[in-house]
Amino acid sequence: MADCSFALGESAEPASHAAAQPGARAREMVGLHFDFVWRLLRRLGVPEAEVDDAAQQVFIVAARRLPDIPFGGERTFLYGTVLRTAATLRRNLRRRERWLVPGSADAESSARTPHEELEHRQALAVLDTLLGALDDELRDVFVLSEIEELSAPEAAALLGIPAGTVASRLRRARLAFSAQLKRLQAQTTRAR
Amino acid sequence: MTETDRFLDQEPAELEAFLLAHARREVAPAAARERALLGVAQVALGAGALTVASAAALGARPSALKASAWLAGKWLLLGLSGGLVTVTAAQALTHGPPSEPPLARSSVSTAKARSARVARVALREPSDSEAARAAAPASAPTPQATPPANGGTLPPLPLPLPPTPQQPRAAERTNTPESERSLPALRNAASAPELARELLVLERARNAVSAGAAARALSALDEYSAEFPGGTLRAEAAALRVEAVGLGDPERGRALAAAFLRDYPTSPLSTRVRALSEGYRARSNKP
Repeated sequence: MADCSFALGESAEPASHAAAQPGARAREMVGLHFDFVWRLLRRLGVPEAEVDDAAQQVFIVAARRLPDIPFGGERTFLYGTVLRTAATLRRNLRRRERWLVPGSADAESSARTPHEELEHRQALAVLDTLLGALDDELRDVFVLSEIEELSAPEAAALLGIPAGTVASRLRRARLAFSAQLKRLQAQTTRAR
Repeated sequence: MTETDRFLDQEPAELEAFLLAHARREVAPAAARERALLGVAQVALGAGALTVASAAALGARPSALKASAWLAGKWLLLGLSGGLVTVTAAQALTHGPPSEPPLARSSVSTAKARSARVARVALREPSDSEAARAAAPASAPTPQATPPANGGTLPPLPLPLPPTPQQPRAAERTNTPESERSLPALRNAASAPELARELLVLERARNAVSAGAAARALSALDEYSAEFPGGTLRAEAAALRVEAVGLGDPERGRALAAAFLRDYPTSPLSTRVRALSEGYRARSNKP
């Protein structure tokens, strides 16, 4: 009986079956790349209150376009969509003031003590300030390499530029980032 | 400033490593992930019509194909407002190991274990709606029973039920054939289209809350209460109402949050509602 129902429900299909199952492929895409997309949106200047919506939007766009996305090309497509979405949201943000709702209490944040949580948030706020001071092309490379820890060829594939360009931008980005960081430290020391 | 920004006093290289480590550690909230899953599910479902075929296409793998339509409905609900991650179905359907394509499993035992998990949900979940119907005459939500231990670290279901004669809880761990075990579930389940309608109204409310449009959210929630007085998702609706009201009136939001926590003390949404309530307190304390 159990075997019979098993045969009805879940059979061992070859992986290529996903081709005929757009829902399964989209779901898998969320499973594999959600943190990546969500973190990128955060670091690319999307306000916290809008990140969840933006991430959902990115995956909805990708799910609609799924038939056009080559297998293995999901991350590249998602990255391009993230860049466009983040740019649009940053533009809209300048036009209107948003009423920030309290951030969602996710499992991760409730696992921290209030002190740790505050420190984490401040660290991210400082980081986002520093990233915001970088040129877009430097920030993109910096975020992919230093936060997402992609190799130069991986980042190059996502950005559609040669790996050598990634390496040289990363060097410039690191210099610019530490210059910003030192400036910020000098300012806070003076302020105290 | 505050004591916590002492980290700025580190050496520049250490501070850089510290900041980047914080960014790398950041993971998306589970609720956000579920909303994305909901989004792609809606795309996969086209206009949102839940059919057995589309439920199967979404990767729902219950033991009986009929159950899959119902489960996909339940799965769709997961993205609603951030608390339903704890439903066992979520574990089975949305949190599979990412490296394993869900339809490409070759291990029979793993597959069976999964089917069993899904069947267990099918057994227990729909009885929720039975409870909802029993409580239907009053639109006021009924307090929850204490959740049953579910044999692992999985958190309780949103609307746990006391055992009923035809659904002994012990059946979960017996080796009753899965197809038989899931049958009572099918009899009592709210129909998938009805769940889909509930979902649509609440999703509208959720979107309005996210956009900060309290009035729009409240009108969707009023619509929900009028149309589904004993709705399966009434706890979710109540939590959204807390959020919608709190947007404009933190004091009232707090009062509603307290009422929610009284009415649904064991709801997985209570964590979020408690956090909202804290936020409202902070806001109303500030001049």
